Amino acid sequence: MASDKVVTLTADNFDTEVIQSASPVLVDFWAEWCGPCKMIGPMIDQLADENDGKATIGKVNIDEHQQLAVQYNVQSIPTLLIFKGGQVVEQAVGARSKADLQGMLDSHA
Amino acid sequence: MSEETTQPPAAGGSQESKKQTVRISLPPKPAASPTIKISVPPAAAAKAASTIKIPVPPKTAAPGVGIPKSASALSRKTPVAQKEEVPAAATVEEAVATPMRKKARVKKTTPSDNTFDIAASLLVAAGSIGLAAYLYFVLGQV
Repeated sequence: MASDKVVTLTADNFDTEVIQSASPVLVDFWAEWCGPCKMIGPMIDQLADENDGKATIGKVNIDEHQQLAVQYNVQSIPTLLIFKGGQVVEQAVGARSKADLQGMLDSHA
Repeated sequence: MSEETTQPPAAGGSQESKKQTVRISLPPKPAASPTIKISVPPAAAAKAASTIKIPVPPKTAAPGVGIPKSASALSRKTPVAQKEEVPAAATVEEAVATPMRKKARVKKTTPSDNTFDIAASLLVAAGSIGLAAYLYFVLGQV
């Protein structure tokens, strides 16, 4: 079950939710037809629940918001970007463990 | 910065799959400035060019400027001298401002324009030839 803590990012709210966010933001670029994306989906939901108030977890559907994927040069999915201060501070391509993702967030907290 | 992984997630060890990433093809990133630049001349040059105004020449020459066709040979030289006295145009605007007047003077002073001038010239030439022949015969007899 998807967590309501996960922010659905669009071209309209990307600037306010990610670029202008004071806390670190983990952005997951995904698609419905992507198996590995579905595989890490539950972990993304768990991270959103566990980091509520400390970090923002968001997801970008690349089919619906292709321009964001182009803007951040996403060529494979899942691609996980960590933003801090409006800048990409870390990037991971491919499925990762929950512990890895939590470690990435903690390193930029 | 980027690190591509091929290992399955540790927490989801049972969720192994052959491919951990899906390659996607997206349109190329648009150019930074997809605009067409129009070359516009500098403002100073445009302003300078706009200040050079070519006046419209008058359709007819000013009355009284021309010389009557019956004028004598002596009077024919006068406008030529006047033409030489016309100072050279200091600027382009002055040169453009007085083209028609100078043209009219030159045209009026051309001797081939009237038959009287031609006849006078022929008469003088014939007289000169006659005088030369007379002097030749007179001096030759001496």
